[in-house]
Amino acid sequence: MSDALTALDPGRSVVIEACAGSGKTWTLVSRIIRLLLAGTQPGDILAITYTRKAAREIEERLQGWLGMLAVADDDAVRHFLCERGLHADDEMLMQARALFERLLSARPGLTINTFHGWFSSLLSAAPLSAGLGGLQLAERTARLRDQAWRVLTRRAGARPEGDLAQSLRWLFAYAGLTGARETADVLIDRRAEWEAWKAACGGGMEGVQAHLRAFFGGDAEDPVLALAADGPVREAVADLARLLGQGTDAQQKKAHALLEASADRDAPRYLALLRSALLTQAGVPVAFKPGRSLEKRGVAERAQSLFSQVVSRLDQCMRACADRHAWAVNVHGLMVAEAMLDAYDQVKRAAGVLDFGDLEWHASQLLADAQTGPFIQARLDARYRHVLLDEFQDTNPLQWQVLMHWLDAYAPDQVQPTLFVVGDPKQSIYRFRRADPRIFAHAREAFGQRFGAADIRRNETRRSSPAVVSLVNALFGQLETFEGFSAHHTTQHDLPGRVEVLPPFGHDAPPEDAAAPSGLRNPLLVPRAAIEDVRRTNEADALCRRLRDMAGRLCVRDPHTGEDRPARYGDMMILLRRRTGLAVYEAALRAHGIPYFGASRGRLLETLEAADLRALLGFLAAPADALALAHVLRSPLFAFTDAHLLLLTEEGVEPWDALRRADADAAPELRRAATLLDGWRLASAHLPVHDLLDRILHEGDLLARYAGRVDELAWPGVRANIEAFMELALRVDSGRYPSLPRFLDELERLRVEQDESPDEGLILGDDPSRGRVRVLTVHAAKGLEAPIVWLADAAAKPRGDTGARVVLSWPPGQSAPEHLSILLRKEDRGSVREGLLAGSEAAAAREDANLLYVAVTRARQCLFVSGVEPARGRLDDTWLERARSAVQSIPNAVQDDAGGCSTSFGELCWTEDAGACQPPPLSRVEPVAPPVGARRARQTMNDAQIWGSGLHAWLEALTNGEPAPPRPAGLDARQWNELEGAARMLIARPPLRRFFDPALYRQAQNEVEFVLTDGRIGRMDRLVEFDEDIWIIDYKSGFSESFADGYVEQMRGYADAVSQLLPGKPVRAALLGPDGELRQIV
Amino acid sequence: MPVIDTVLLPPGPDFFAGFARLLIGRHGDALRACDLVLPSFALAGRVRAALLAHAGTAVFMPRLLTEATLAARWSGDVDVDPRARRLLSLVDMLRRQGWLGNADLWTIARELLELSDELAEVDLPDEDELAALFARTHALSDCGALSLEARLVSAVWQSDRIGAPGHARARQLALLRAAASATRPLVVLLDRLAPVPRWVLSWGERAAVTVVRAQRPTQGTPLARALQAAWPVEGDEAPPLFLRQVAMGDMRELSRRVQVFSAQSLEQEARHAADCIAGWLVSGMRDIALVAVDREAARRARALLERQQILLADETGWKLSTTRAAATVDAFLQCLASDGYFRDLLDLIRSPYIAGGLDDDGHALAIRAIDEWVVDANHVEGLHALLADASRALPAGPAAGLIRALASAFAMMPTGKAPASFWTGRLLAALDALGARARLAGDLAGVQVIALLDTLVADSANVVTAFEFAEWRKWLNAEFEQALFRDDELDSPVVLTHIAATRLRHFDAAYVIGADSDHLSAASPRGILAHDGLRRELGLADAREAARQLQEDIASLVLCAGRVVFSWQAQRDGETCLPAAALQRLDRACVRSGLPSIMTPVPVQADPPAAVLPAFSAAPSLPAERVPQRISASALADLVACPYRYFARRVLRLGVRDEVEEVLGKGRVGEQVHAVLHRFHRAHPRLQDAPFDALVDDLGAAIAGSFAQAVAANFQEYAWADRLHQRAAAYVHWARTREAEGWQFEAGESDRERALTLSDGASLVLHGRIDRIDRSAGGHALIDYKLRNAKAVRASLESDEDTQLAFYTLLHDEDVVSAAYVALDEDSPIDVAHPAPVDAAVVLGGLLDDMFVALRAGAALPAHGDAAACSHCQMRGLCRKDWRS
Ligand code: SF4
Repeated sequence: MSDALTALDPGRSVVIEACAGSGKTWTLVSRIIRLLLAGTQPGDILAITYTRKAAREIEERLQGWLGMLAVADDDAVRHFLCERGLHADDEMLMQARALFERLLSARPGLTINTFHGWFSSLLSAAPLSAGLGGLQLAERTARLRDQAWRVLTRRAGARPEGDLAQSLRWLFAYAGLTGARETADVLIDRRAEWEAWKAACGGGMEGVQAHLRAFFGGDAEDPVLALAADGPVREAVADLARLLGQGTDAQQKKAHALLEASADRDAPRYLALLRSALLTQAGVPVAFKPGRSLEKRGVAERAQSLFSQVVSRLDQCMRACADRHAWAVNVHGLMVAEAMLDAYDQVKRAAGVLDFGDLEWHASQLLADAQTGPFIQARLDARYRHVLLDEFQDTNPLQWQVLMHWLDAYAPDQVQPTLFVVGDPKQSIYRFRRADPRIFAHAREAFGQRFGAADIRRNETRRSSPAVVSLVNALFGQLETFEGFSAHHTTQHDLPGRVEVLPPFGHDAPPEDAAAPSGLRNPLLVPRAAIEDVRRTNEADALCRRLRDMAGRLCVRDPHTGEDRPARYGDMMILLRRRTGLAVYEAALRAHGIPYFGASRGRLLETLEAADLRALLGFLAAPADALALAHVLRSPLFAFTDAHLLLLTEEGVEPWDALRRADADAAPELRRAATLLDGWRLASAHLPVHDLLDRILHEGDLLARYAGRVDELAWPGVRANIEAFMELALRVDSGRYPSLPRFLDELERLRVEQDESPDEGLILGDDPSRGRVRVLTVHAAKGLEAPIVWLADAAAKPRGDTGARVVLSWPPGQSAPEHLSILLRKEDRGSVREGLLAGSEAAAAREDANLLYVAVTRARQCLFVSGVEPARGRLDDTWLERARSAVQSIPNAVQDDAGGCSTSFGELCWTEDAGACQPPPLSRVEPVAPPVGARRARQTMNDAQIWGSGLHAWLEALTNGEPAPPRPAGLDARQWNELEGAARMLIARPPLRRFFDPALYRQAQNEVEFVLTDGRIGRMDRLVEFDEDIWIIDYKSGFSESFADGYVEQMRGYADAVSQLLPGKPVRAALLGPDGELRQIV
Repeated sequence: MPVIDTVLLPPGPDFFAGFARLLIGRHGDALRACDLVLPSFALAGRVRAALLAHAGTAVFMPRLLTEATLAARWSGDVDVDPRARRLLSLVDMLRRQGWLGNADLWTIARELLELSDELAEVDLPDEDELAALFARTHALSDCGALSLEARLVSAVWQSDRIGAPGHARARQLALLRAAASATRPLVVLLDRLAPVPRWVLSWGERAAVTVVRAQRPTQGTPLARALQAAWPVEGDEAPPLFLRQVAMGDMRELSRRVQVFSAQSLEQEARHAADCIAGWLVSGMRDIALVAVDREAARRARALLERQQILLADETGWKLSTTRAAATVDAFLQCLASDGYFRDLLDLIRSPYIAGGLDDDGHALAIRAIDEWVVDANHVEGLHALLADASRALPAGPAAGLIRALASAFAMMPTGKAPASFWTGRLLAALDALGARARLAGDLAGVQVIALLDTLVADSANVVTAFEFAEWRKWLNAEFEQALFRDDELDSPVVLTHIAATRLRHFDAAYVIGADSDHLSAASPRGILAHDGLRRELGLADAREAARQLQEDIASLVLCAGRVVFSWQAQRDGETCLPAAALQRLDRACVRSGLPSIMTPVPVQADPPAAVLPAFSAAPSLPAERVPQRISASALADLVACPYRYFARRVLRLGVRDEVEEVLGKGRVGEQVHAVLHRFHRAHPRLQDAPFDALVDDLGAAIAGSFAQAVAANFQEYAWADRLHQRAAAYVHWARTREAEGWQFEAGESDRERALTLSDGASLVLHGRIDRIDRSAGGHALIDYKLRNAKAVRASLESDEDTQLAFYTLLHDEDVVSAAYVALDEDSPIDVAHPAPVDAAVVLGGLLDDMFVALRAGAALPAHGDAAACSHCQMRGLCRKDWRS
């Protein structure tokens, strides 16, 4: 069986390492279909992938295929199955067609989820006693962290002499407020690892501290003292000084310094003197040459060896010092970080939420437990028989643990699950989310042993042209960090393609007349000379020009139809390593009129249009905010000129007061603004923010006015952002306890907290045949592809790790970490963690290469690589340079004069411009409907009415044989009793008995409703039929003599109706008052 | 032997005609002696109309009831255990038992109560058997956690049986009581798949009962056949789609009535819904439903409709907690919880419901005064101190009244533990003190909030357990979450409703918004009763049944409404959303019949026509009288960086309002440092005269003293306090060295003014405060302290746009020989001196002359800050540079 079919075999476990473009999703979804065809219940299948987006895509693909099969003819179904290794008989055809509905109606259904999503469902099935009930997953935690920090500092303040306070101040002093806060936060994202580590150290802080003490050499003697007490070294220093004293002037000077040092008994000073004599500022040994004069004296060798001896001892001491310092950082840092976790827990508990770290930790705890593990499986009714794991290279150690616990919960006598694992360690780019690609190799091993999983490796892409593939091979074939790479092949033998690496973009030549001689510029006349960076602008400009050239002219192969056709913008993708500089590329695209989908995540609130709305809401909440008012007035909503503003800011008057006073003579703009703003200000106190904004949009004619102000290219984005802002308001609003100030606080928080800021709106409604260029980070592009890919900003260096972080070693497959500590600054790297840090640097370098691999493998046909000249340092190890030398190593590479190079495969065709014209702008015709609906005046009953209806209710109940009716809110128990008494008295009154005693009438009904022929509805309180006549009785609560007059008409109508309905007997109608008087009307 | 007659009727436009025929056929005149129990009163109108139509003449109605009204009639004065009280006592009980460790008992208690309501109609076996049942259905034996849950369920269920019943059980009992004394014939209309309720069976033992069930036909009309093809009534038992009869004609009939749209965004979806509904109204349709599957999208659509004065009668309701009125109560409690954290306080005072005695203007004034005061005093938290200080600082005016009201309101609240009813009662009293009750009574949600609080006081009256504030607040929150707020004062033929509420109702058209697979799907039970096997054993509906019910509801909507439009958002936050399963089935059936797919994208919604606005400019010229006559160093910096910014800040005098700083900002720290150093030098004009250590102690003490309050209020202030304190010695050392070099402290914090006469004859006054002036034999040295590091200071001095030192030199105007910044954020201070301050001052003087003469002559102030200037500029909303690049 070929590897491809083995991978689909429902009975086999497999681990597939599959290169980019090799069709991972195809394989995974095909396997699910084969599983279903083999009779597997959907509920027995668990598929896990890395992102929700990917999970949705798998689901979509699966349903799409099944939907297709459900209605396809025999040939199509046969062909589909054949591609997946099945030779279908008629019965299988039918089965395949039934899968669609089978899947939709399956209970429990097929699970396609992320690890986190799956963990959530595990937690929701946890036993009550686990105490996890009702907790919500908080995806955004910045606010909770801030609260926790406040709790923490308050705790420290409450006990200023306590350990926590002291450690916190130690950190303040060492790393400042920011550094201290970073340190405090450091364990929050590593919650699960930390807990595992603590457990491994014996369960508590003491164990951790003891471990650290030993690890960092805390038990050894203070290295500075040890150095000072090291007699032989002191001797050697003195000897060295003596020898140098015989040398050149410079050497004599050094000799002096050394001599001074060797005599100094104060340990720290001794060290400091030695350092300054023998080490450079950066801590490396100074250049030491004995020189001729010492040679002449024959002591050169000895001097050299003394120097080396002292320096190496010094180095040892320095390292030991750094380790000691690192120890101190950890002692204080972990104390604070642990306290922070505690405070954070408290805050989360109060808010009833948990975060991702908790999710993982609880999931692993629950499943590790011999009781709760099976419990959860049972409650979820999920003893999966087939587990499919996608993007497995992105798994982190905790997730791996949970998975293993889950698998361990299968009793040995139970049917064991089959496993399908697919991934590509070459595409592992989520180290920052703690992914560990080593787990992949480990899993291959482990699953091979446990489930006999086949080891399948695929290096054949179905995506890229040979041109791109040859670049991939040239780039990664030799790369040392990229171990385990084997050359790629492609099934797209005849797909023409091209790879081009552009020369780096530099500054323009400075303009001739740049220097301003006078020294001071007149700012009214001359803007500040642009010292702005034009390198990237140049790059972006060149990029846009090339893209525009290709659109409509360069032929690409349509991925769906396989036909060649002119390229559209939708076929192009711009990739960036990072978001820095993104705005420049987007601005260039706008300037060139190229439609695009931005990658500007998290920038909504920074846009001017969102700032306008914020200013407006801010003003409504605090009308004294003159700046906010001026901002709003200058926005298109009011489009004030500066002259208008001058009018409103005369000395001594608040602008808002000045505006409100705008009288009939004032400019109409002013009056419009005053009226609208005042209306909204009043409304803002009551209306939810969304409704307020909607009113503003409507009454302020906001969209039309914005459309009138921004240019055509920018407009779709502006509009999308305004809509995104509305949506944000709606979302924040539907939360609990809405108010404008709370909304504004929330906005401010979102704005400040980078990771949580809302995204810009999505631009819609464009001609799909033209499409939009996608601008993406490489991370976001994972899983996507395009005929034309442009990797921009390729000379950027990866961002090194900075700030406080956790140093962690957790070898794959082990149940707990081997090491965990905090690293706050470069200076406290020390020596004992050298190996660990080097390991993580190697991993970072590998990941950087992976990222490049992901970027270039997105391209189907054309790949461009460009970048800017670095401001400092050299291009060397940049992607740009790597790509350039890779291209050059390809035999048919072409070098151009400007320093760029390219390689091609086959012939890319160009055609006449197919004319990418824009659809004519439509203007919106709203159907104008008449007003509909009306507010009813609120009805409140007066006391008499309440009394009357109470009596009514009692009469009803008593005559129906029902228990006491429910007491209305307006009556107290005493009044209620009185009413009961009154009702009973009425019924018992001798003159009325015949109407209420069943022995005295033929039949009676209460509350008889009837419809008259004209459609009107009547309701009589009681209808009593006697042998000779029929009585209609209505209870009335009026007291006055003449009250009955008002009902005469109505009662006549009732009587008429009844005589029509029950012909044959005379009908009488009467009103029964609260006094017990019966007033006959008919 | 109960006699229950069951009749099936097909849902659809003729449903009620058939129903009327049945009623009159069976009961005739005697209908007036019948009870008819409907699923909801929304159907009553249709029943009446159908009866009348069938009778053709006047007609008696049966007595129209719903389960709820019937139960209400029969509940009598039987004691019901109100939800609020049940929750309190259950939490109390769980706490005392201590079975559940430190889990959140409120959540567990709520889940248990819901569960006991769900079980109100079923019989549970005894505790042991129930545990065995749990174990059997879960296929788990000897599981402690599982049997604990079984025990809990049993206990809660038992207490519902034995003690005062909960709401659901009480209702059940009332219905059974009604049945037990039934005399009248009963007709029950069932619109759900559920089995015939128990009370109906029991009624049948005493009187004739007819159960009428709506059941979808599978044949007869094209529509019925088409629906059967897409959504077979048999559910999973039906043969696969490929083998079913799917006639193109039938499907075409269906697709004439049903449309399915995919939208790309919430706005697009909502807009489409609003356009559709408005279009229907225009075309003369009347009864229209907006079925809110996705409530946010529905809310957006409602707002869009209301713009056109199309008001919707809302049948869905919102959690009371989402109302502004409830938010006021919460703001008050939040203030208490956060001990008067200023944001919470400022939120509270903005509530329109408080300050009953103030009118809108007075309230606005009060808000403003308190706002400003809080900022001035930099009040972060501390409720009592805050109110006390505020009442001293704001002795009169509307603010004083508001502060007094707040003070007395907060004083009402208990400080320790108290029973829930006591807490709630005090809360009401506090609302009175705030003058809020009267105002709340002015709106619908407010009335409900007060009514809820009143009810809670009564309901919790005899639970004596005392709760902490936080615990009580959790309970109260749960009640606000539970209570539903419905604006029922709107009459409109267009209703906002949910899918279950459309059963059997007629609409000319219905729009189902949010029909994606997440929203339009049967809710899956969670928690203890989530297990399907267990549910079936207990006689509860399982997931399959819930899904079938949903499918039938959708089908019935299609049958009963003339037109149905479904829409869903095809993507959200970049993730694909799939259409609901029902729509996918429908789509496949269409394709199977040979028609194209039924799913279409929402049509392109065009932009509004652009308004014509006056041309934009951001380069004002000033009338001569508005040209400033004074300038400071920082104003000059604005002018140099960007003239428009100068215009906005210095001519219009606009600026960002000060804010409360929770941690001292660099600005405030800088001010403190300036003040400390100034006092230090004033106290020691000659540093030589005092011993070094004494000076260090003195300065250290001054620093500590100046931060003492800040540090006490916020531990984080140690970050600066410690750092500065540690550097006292270095500073003294630096200062003494300087003195030894011949520089003698002369003045500090020195306010200066100097008038320049400009070449057009006008004058310009320079003014500013010089941090420190030293004197030596050769002349003066000007010093400006910077709380930054030397690198940053040097960089800004070298950027050649720095005018501050030149400005001070010009301002000081007497024998200046040196001007320097001193970078203080260093281990020891570092001087960064201007290379030629006097020359620079001369050049600056010339530039000032040029500029101010030009301004008076009408020169424009263009907005041309560069990237660096703009990056932190607060005037971008005014110059609108973002849109001009
Ligand atoms: S944003 Fe820039 S251009 Fe606009 S006022 Fe500020 S500095 Fe000037």
